[in-house]
Amino acid sequence: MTASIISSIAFYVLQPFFGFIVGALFYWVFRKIRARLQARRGPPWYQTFADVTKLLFKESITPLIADKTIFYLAPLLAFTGYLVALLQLPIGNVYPPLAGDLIVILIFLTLPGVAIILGGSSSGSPYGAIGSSRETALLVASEIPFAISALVTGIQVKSMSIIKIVDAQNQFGPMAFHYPFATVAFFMCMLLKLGRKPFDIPDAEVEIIAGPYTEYSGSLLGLFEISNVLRWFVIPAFAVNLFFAGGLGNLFVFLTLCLVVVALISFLDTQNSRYRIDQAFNFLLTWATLLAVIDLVRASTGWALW
Amino acid sequence: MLKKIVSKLRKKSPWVMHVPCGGCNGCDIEVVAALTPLYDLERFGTLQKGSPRHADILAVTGPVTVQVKERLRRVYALVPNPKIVMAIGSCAISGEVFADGYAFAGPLDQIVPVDIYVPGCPPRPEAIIHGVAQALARL
Amino acid sequence: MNKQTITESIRGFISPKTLPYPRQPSVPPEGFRGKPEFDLQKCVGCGACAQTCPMGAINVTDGLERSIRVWYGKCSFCGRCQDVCPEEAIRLTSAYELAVFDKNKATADVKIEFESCPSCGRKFFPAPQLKKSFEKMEPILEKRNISNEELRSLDRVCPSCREKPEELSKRKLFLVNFG
Repeated sequence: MTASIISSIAFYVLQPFFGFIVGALFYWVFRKIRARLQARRGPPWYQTFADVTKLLFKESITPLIADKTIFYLAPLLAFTGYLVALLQLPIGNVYPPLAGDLIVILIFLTLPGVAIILGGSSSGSPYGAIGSSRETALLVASEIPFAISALVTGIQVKSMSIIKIVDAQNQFGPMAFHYPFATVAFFMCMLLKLGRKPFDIPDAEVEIIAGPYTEYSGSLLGLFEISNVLRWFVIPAFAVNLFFAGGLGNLFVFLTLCLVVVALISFLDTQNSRYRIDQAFNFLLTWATLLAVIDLVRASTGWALW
Repeated sequence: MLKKIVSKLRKKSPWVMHVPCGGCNGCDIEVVAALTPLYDLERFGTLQKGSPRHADILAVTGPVTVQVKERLRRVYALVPNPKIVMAIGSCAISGEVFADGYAFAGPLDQIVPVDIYVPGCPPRPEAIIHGVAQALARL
Repeated sequence: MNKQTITESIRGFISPKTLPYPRQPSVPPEGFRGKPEFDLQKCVGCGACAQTCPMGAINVTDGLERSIRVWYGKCSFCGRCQDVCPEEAIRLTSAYELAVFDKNKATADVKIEFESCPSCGRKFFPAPQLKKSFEKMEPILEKRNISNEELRSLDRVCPSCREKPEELSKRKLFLVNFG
């Protein structure tokens, strides 16, 4: 009894640090592969740690006309969203003590988008307002295929517990094999969740200075950076758990599969240019939703399964 | 102890904001060229940021004109401490060809405090990288 | 995303094109106009570079000795000083790493001593320039059979002292010869 309490507490304390460090290394892998594909060398391995440390110890200036409560709340909200989602995920052979739930993870993964919208609109600058409106449109467009393709796996297993989804894949093979359309739709939405091309409109674009992040500086921006680092672990880990059998119970295989996902995302990021907001909106609502709905129909009616 | 680690890591991640102040754009082209794959600055952790609130280094080029003077002061106030201001090009140091013009509002160090001067017309991208490295050693 | 971008990305992945600049020095091409530097042996102190500089970056200050100073903060590295110098004493080298913390330290200067007039003691002309002009006049003087030492003793006197009666009489010799 006490052993399980101690191991639960150890899990909840160590998991965020593990997520942050592995997320920082995955973010470095992304930047290195992107640099190499652009015929240049990339940053050294400690780059993400240096960026985050530098930001946390810089002076933080708040604009006078900003709404202070929401301005300070937004980075905290983004951090909370990724943190709670992180604590629900099984990692290789380590399962969370309280059963991870698919719907809870999906809800908490929308919080960072909401946080960006709140942060951008409360900062009192026109760049923030434009960034927030674009992020709203993209959030609405991407949640539909993201949620549908995630729920497809739950429908197949007839349970919303992510541990049961991983265990079922250990028996019947990875979901990516049975539901390839849902996997592709999930990948497209993953590019948006991570803020990569072709969907990186809110994330620090040159056209509107820095979008919703414009008026943030110092420690608040550092908190946004920490949540941006965490998402590089949470979202590939979520994808591997849902569609690639969670690493078959092996931590090493799990991390290797996450690295393959990160490498694929970096490759797609370098090859594509940025979509305009209406092009991204249309693309996600037509093609990605179509693919996700095909697999939803297949999963719920049991038609044409293989 | 913590201060030493933080100041060491601070030198490894300088984020640059480039402020062109009304010159011929020769120095602007060299600053942007320093960010291309040939002289890759991301090796040193440098990123080009759009918002002054995100930047550590202000790279100012061009002779400061009368119109830009107040706005440059506002941008300087927006950059959080600790910061470095670089005057890139001979125009930012003294006005060079434009020194007797009607639109010239003074060399850069009469408007904002400057940490390092990089002479050149325009300075080569390697000279700009050399200037950044020297300034970072004093951050 | 098409075949061309993919092949170029993979080619860039295999061999990056970044110059290893701060670790290895980067040599600029032939004829690169970098920092102007004085050759202290060749400069005669004529001040032609200061007169022709379009920015006014080269300044001549006369005191006990003549000091010619180029300030890189105003230099536009155009090379007119190099074109006009009669002795090729100022040259635009290929050094380009000129970053300084104090802008008044980005200078290069040369100091030339003055020639003193033997009768009034005033310093009126840079000594190397006088020496050089005598050297250049050698062939002309030989043709006219005037000895160089005579000319030298007469020309060392400053222009105001040349108007004095005792000096004027010495100079009548040359007026008769050229007649």
